[in-house]
Amino acid sequence: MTSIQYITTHSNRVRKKHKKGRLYTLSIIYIACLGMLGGFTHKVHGELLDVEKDELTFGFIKLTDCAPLVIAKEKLFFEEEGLDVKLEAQANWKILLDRVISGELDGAHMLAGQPIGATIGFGTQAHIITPYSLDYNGNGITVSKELWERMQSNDEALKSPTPKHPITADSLKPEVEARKTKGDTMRMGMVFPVSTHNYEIRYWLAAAGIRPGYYLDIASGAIDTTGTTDADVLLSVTPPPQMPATLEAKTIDGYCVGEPWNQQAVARGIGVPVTTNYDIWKNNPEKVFGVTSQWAKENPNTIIAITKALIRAGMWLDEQDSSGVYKNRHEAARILSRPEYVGADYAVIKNSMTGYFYFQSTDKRPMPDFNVFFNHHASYPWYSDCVWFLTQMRRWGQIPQSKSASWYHETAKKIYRPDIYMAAAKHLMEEDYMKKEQLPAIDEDDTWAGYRPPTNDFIDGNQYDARKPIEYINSFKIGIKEEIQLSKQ
Amino acid sequence: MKDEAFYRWITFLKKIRFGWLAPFFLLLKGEDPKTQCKAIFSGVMMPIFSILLFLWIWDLASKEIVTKFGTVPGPRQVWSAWKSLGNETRLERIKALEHQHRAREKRIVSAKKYKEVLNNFPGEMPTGLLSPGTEDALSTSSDAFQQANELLEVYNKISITLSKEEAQSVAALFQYETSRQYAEKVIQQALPLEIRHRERVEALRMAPEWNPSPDDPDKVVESKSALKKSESKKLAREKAILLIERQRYATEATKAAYALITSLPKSVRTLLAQSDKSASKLYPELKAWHENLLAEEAATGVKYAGKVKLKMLVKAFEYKPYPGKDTYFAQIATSLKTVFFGFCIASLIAIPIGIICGLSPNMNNAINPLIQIFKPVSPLAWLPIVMILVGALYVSDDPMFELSFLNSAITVALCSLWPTLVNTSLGVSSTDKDIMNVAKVLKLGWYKKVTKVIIPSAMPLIFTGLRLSLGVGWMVLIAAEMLAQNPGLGKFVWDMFQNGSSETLSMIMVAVFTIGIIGFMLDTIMLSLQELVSFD
Repeated sequence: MTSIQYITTHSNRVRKKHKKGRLYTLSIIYIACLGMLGGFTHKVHGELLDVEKDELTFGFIKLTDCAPLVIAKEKLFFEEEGLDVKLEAQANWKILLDRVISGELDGAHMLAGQPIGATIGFGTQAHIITPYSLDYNGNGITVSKELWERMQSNDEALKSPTPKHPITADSLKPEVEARKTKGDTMRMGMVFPVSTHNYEIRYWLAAAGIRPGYYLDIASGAIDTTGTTDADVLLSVTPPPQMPATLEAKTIDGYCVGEPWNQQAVARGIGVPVTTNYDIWKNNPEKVFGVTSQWAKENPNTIIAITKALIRAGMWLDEQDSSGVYKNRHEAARILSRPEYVGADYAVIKNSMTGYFYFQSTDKRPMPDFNVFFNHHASYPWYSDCVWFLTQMRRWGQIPQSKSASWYHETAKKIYRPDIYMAAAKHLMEEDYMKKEQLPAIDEDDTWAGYRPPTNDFIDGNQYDARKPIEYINSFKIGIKEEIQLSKQ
Repeated sequence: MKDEAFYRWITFLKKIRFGWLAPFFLLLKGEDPKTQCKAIFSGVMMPIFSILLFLWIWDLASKEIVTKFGTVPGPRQVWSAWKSLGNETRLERIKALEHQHRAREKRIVSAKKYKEVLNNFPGEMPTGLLSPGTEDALSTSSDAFQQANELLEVYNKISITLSKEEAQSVAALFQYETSRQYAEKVIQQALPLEIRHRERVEALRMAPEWNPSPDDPDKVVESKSALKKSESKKLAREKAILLIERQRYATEATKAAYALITSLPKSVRTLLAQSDKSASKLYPELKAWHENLLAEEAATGVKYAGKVKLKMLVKAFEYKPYPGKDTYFAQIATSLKTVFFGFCIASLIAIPIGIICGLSPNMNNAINPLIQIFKPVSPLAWLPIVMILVGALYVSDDPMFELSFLNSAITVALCSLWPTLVNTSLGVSSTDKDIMNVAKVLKLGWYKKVTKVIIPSAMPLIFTGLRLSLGVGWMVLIAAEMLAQNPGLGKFVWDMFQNGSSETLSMIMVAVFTIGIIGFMLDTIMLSLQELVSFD
């Protein structure tokens, strides 16, 4: 069929249907063609994305780092993308993940390790992806008053209202050993087996030569889901809001948790935060926004629209005035303190959100980067962050088999999706909401695009180069060791 | 005759558990005042007296107990928390209205923006994309919303300012007269309390006893504990009063804001309503148009440009409810719905099985061990099983029920099954022998015997069972909702507990009273039904 014939038959059909004149039909085709041409040159400015699903439910846990989600809703960034979002507080991380997998929730505020753990099949198996990293830092390790006094007696330097930071676990070690000879093992709380807190408290303890326990018996290969094989300190899961109460009940001697639960221990006078994760690893990834890979496939435009709104929320949260003070954090704290969101008292949330942290009631320190939502490219999903979690999972035996270096990189690319982030950023730049400088400079042709440069901003000064995961795993004194030839595979 | 009706009314009152009203009626009727007064005293005064006594003791005790969250809330704080829940509902309503307002704005913008696109498509263009006058009406209501938001903002801003001067400068910031006036009022009445409290806290923190030198640890402990005793109670009490006071102002602010929005001139309201109406009419028309176009495109293969824009326009005209949080009252409704659903499932299973068990001793012996084993199982044990099974079996793309709803309802059903089952079987098996003999003599068929003789005579016991079941179900529900994330009262309690704020305890107490009162009402209803079906 020639094109002329085609147009004629087509216009006949159109004419039959609408009973209009031939001129009208032709003009439609003409306009349609023009429109198509125009479509290619049309700037997307101010045009909404054609979202597949516009009524969404997201889950979150009552922690201050769910802020980007709350802000995107309350400041109407979601609505401006044509999304009607409902936020639902969840009882714990397990329920949250299960509900995302079952489809009751479209997406959720997740621990950075959750999409990774789920995808590689540690715990519940499901392919979860993350296009947006919600924040950096924001956790602390708190020990009970009694333990703090023991630590002080082991290290004179700590006997000050404002001791020098960072505080390592060195002064804890004699106490751990003393307890062990008494036949009693020290207990500490963390939030979830694949949570940042677990790896952080392990890192902190292991850096001082205290073994936090493996998820695997290295000799026999037997799997231990409690992660207490060979442990000097027993780590157990406690939901964040119950941490202070559990500490007070002396079930645990310390814990690693996000805000506001460290500040609450200070406010209630039951514990002393000894370190924040900013000291353990400067600008470490903390929470991410996760959806199932299936969901992202079915809703390609929606996920970009969500990411757009989240980026705008992150930018709003980290907006600074000329003197570097966060402009909107007070308002954010007020919104977060509503009972349907985090719900803790405004005064408690304000502390960490506005860049202060009480280590003791006498020791208030400015911590401007305690919560970073957007600055330092905190919202970009770096592959290297994913690789770090994978190396820690291997280090402690959550990944029972040896893996080659290439597996780490491929897995990271399956879970972290900077392509979605960049697509959203492109839209935002076209709409003038975002400037190019606000994006990390990524050279797409580079094999290692999306990897942060090597860093030794760790409490033990150990260097982390995400490009060499096997070497990194082997660099720890405490931890599972790998065959070096795996790094070539 | 009239007397007979009156006494029937009195018996009825007693049956529906309003017997305490009877003495009043009898008194009006002119019965012996002394007996009636006695009845009123014991039936009405005594309960009121005991409630008052309870409140008084609670009030006294609450002031003395200081937890790490502050004082234990007394009746006044719980009352203020209850009011704050009403306040939240009002805020949600304001938000929903704003959402509706933005939808209107969006429609106007889209209609203007895409009018040209519309002209390029085949077919008759729907009329009435823009109703005349709507734009003006919208800008009037925009003003109202802005003013209302300012009122709320005044409250928020002032409640975190530290000094009177600061508060006054905040007040001056506001554009509208109403918000400025309101600000002045808050400054005059509530702020001094707040500032005084803050000064006290600050003074205490600065006091040398609070931050003693670590050289003399004994002195530290001594002085601190002394201070704690005298000051922390005082502070906690002060804070409690402050919270109540603040709540009062928050309530007032939302009330005023809501009034502003809803008091738009009538002409404006009519215009807006008209615009909503025409939009809701237009939506199916636009949608059909869009779908026609897509169908035609699929048939002819010619692609229309600007189709996406048309879709966006259609979307702008779609009505969507405000995706807000569940208010307390919505949560109560969810809980009631869940418990009734679970209760109905339980009854539908328990009554037939109970009848069968009651009719045949063999069946009864067969099923009895199962009943005895499953009856004492706690909902917390059922729930994980139910969650896993329902999650696996109830798979649908467009589910009629939320999973969390089904999980809690089925757990309720599993736990509340047993009292009905046991009582039904007991009721059926203890049918009067004489009646059964009569049925035999009349040569009634099996079906007639069951429906006409056995069930009616077992009715009182069946209802006793149902009543116990509903009570168990309501109790179980709260636990089930906590874990299953069903958005009802259980989730409310759990969320509040997780908040860990100064309002946590009073909010949970509000929930406790709500649960108690609703449970009491459900029981009363079932009891009256039971009385009404039993024929004496």
